[in-house]
Amino acid sequence: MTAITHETVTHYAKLANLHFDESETALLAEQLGTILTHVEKIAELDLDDVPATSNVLARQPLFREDEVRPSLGSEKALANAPDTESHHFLVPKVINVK
Amino acid sequence: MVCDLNVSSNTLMEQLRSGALTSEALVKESLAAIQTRDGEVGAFLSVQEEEALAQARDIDRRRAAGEAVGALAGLPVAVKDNINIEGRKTTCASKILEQFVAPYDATAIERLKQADGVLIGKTNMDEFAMGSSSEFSALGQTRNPHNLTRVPGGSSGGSTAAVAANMVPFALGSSTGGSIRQPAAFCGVVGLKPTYGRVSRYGLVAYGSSLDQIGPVAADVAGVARLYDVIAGPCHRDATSAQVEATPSLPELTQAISGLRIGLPKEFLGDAVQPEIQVALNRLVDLFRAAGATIVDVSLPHTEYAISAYYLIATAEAGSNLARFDGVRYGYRTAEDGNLRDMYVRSRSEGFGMEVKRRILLGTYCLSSGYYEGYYLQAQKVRTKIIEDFQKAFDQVDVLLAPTTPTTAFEAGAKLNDPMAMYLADIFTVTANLAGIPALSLPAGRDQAGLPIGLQMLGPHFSENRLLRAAYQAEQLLK
Repeated sequence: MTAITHETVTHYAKLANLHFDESETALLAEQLGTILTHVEKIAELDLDDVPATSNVLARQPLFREDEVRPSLGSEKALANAPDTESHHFLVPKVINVK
Repeated sequence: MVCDLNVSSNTLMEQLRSGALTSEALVKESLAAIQTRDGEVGAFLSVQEEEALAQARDIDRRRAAGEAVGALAGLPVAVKDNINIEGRKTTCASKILEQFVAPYDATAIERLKQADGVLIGKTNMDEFAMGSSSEFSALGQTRNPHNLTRVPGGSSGGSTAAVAANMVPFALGSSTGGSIRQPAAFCGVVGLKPTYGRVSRYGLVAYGSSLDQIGPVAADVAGVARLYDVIAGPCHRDATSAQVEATPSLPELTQAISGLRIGLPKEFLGDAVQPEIQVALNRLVDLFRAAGATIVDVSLPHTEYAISAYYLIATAEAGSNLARFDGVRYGYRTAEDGNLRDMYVRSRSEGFGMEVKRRILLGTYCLSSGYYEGYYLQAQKVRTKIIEDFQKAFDQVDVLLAPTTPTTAFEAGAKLNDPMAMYLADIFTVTANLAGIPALSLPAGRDQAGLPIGLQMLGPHFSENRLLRAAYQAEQLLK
């Protein structure tokens, strides 16, 4: 059984830009432990000499000329943004923040 | 005339071509069915009544004037709500995208429009396609039309329920680990997950990018073939799109394959399978054998590691893909004041549901330094072995036949608080996604509770046409 501590959940939540309250953290620690215990089954296979899959199709990647093509345009690209100002996405201040 | 949505899409197409039926009448029938049944089924998140009727009238006018019309001309199609239709919401059944309006059409939608399919509405799903019961939707509850206490399966549960309840003849779903076949089995309809790269992912909201595929759902194999022919083929906007032309499957669909060799993978049989599903499988095997097919026992020895590899790879990719939802460019932003990082964390924590957060956390964990080799890299090596298993099996047989799911549709709420139990609902479907091969589920009778049983057929990469022919043959044998 892989034991996942509250601290582990809190650490990875921070890396993933998520926050959990106390009861969620406790629940997730337990559930992640259960899930990891199950998925760790793959460790029993000796696959040292096996290449990892990077693409399921044994084909050449698709290349194209690096040329300018029509794209969304700023109006459409900004249309779903929560906050904008003069063709820019607006976010909370990030410099000189006290 | 009064039309009947409970007939094959072939019949509807013939009636539309002959003028016995108009698209407007058909769309009205579809809208009426939604009006009548969707209160209890909950398949749709949004219905575009006016636009659908306008599109239908335009198709009727063009047909009457002798103008060219597309391959789906006048037939209503429902679309899973993680596929973009320009100017309409793509919510992914998530609070974080509840107000998101798609700025462009997915390639699959562009092709549906060119084929004159009538886009009638968007269907419910597990949030960001993460789930096997559609219960993880933040925006609505979908129930199985055959029994409202049961789940429709997931994550494309809205699409399969809409077809099963005769609201639409066709729907698009998407599959990352079984999200088309599993709900198709639970709802008693046909669903195809095409070869990875066969249908463009452009305009499909990404979950597990190396696994995701859009696929067709219909009441019968011919309907699935018809919709598949429209959406399949290379696309220059998706770098993972396979540059292999797709030849239409429908013209040759009814030609039985002589000397068909069918493999039965032993790892998909046994005590874990509900007895009635095993009986249904045996029955189809007997029918195929009597029809001249060769039945071969085969082995896919790494199947028992598939769920583990799948949930490691899928969550790792999900953790990366869903980093884009941060309250800046689109989607929900928290109303709370704070610095940039607070804004990210609050927007994501308030906007995502618990299952999505659980998978992001798991994916972040297994990609992190010190765990990457043991989890993600090892899982990608297991994937190589799973691909090899299939290659060896397809050296001996044309298609594989197996149960789609270990059980028929389970009770709503039964697995909601047990993530691992929910993940195991995909135990028979994830291998096809990991290997990128096409796989189709078709109905094969009912269990004692009256719930549909689904059986799946799997084929090598790009063998959709042969797979569909074999499935059509199975469908005829089961009649």
